[in-house]
Amino acid sequence: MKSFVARRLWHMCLTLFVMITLMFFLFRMLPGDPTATVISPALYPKAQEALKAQFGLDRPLWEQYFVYLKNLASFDFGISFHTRRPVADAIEGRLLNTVLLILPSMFLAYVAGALLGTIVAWRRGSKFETALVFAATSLQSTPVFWLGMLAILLFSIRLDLFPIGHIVTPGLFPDNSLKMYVSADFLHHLALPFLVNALYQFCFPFLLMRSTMLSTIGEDYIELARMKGLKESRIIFGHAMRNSLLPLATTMPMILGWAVAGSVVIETVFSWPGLGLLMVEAVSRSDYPMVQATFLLIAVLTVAGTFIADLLYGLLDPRIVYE
Amino acid sequence: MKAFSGNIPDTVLNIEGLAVEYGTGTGPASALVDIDLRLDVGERVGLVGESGCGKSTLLKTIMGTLPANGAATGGTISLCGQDLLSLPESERRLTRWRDISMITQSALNALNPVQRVGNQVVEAILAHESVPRRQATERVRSLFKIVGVDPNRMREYPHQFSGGMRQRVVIAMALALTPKVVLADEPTTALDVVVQDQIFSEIRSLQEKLGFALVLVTHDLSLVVENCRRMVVMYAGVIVETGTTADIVKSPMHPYTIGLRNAVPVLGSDSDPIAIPGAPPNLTTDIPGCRFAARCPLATDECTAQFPPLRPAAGGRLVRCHKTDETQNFALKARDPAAWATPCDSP
Repeated sequence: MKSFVARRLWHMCLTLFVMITLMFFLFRMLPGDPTATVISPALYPKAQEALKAQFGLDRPLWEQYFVYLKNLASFDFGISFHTRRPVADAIEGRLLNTVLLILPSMFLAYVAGALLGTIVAWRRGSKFETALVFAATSLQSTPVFWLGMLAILLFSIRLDLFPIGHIVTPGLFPDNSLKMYVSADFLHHLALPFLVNALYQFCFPFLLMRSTMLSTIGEDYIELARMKGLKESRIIFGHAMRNSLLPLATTMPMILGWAVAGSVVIETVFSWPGLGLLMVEAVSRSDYPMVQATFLLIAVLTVAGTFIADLLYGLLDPRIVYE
Repeated sequence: MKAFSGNIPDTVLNIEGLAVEYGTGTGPASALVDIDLRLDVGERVGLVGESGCGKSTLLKTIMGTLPANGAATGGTISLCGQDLLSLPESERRLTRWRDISMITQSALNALNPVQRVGNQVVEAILAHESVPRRQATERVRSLFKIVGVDPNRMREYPHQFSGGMRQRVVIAMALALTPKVVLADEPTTALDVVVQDQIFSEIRSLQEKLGFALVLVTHDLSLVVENCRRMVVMYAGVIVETGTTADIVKSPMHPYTIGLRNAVPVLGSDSDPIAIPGAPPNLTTDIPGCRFAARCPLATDECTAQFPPLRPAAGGRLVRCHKTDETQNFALKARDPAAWATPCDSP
């Protein structure tokens, strides 16, 4: 077990190193001159030179790369080209907003998906199953931005139940204090993006759970459990669901990284000032330090999620033994 | 048979006129027709027949775990005088395992891979008796000792057990509530002959000690000869012959039983086993006559038109055949494959 963890940690470091390198060079291959947004072409050439030197952009690419690596090693993510403030500060401010939106909706989606997937598989052939499976497959193939826009159109514009976007009513919390996260106004703003995201994320665990349950139900030990005279609920939840949860529980951590990346869309639609929106802004401004840091964060989440999934599998399935 | 129904105290399980149908895409398939089966206290009965003849369906009907598309359409299954088929599901559930339990085939899949084997036996006890968990665990410990599994392995998982040990766990599970009837569904198909022999001597000695009645379902005729005094032969959803094992093996009276005996290879014998030509009938089609008629060399118009009843024959035997007068002669020449040519073969 210990050597497995050590080996996996080493692999994670390698993966992240490759990611960091790729991201560094890929963004620099994108068309557009970032210096143009940072350094006004209207400045004197001398001043332009001085600014370039200040950001280190006058050095050769490989030298910039090593400086970047050196800074990363001390958790220095650099200074945003756009705001001229440390990238870490900007991410810190946005991370909580994304976490508050994504984590609870993912949690709800997975719990509801697992439960409904179980029930639907048990009641196979019922109208309830047909309807829910149809809804989930349609929903899963619906682009989430379109879903979000429809929700805004219906609930915000037509019915005027929810605000169109943003995290709180502008101007209500001028000092951006933590107080705003416990306000009713925040919850009111959270509701719509939360529900849209939960609805969208629900489909995958629901459909996965249903199909795993259907194959589990056919197993001999389920029939034996019934022959043993166990209660129906005990057979469903104690035997069938317990076994069917394995693939779901192990995909969940991996999905988490993907969900944070997916927050780009939902945050853009709802103008939710989270990581996703920050990424979109940073990419469109060629804000290298910001782009690299946010992408790195998602890479770390995904790689760590995969690692957790591996450990979880060993915990949930006694047949898996790590060496 | 009807005269004895359930009144004799010795009879523990009495099945009469049982019929089971499966709904299929091409109409209902009559999986079991007119099944009569009586089981006395402490008796060992063998149930043989080829795959798809309805052995497993019969067991599932007795246990009440038919799949959703299957249902009993007639007859009774009475356990100590109580008709199981007319019980509501909530009461039926309580009789399961407490009165009739089962040793399933392929013990690997019969055990839940992510639960400790001990717990899987404990939960069977707890589902039927309101005893403290610790007491149930103690009982499982002693059960494990009885079937020859180290009780300290109760906390292990199924994949940590060998095939033979897993089968012993399944036997311990079947005996957990000291049932009156144990149904053994090909309990040793996945095991080699040495382990198979160990398991069977284990089952026999437990059966004699605890006194439950045993139904051994198998397609291995030799297992029945070794273990059961009485046997039942099934073909295409009907019982074709029942009687003492010794009688039936010595002088089978139904053409199918004759063929079945010839199909068993005999070690050291010069003659090769002979297969019965043809295949079992499609049970979704309506078969008015004998279900074996299409493969039977003795079949006449009567056989294809009329469903034969189970007729008593010598030695308490019951045979479902119109041609019992001719079968004795046929049995003598049945070793010759040419004897199996059916009237349908020559136009």
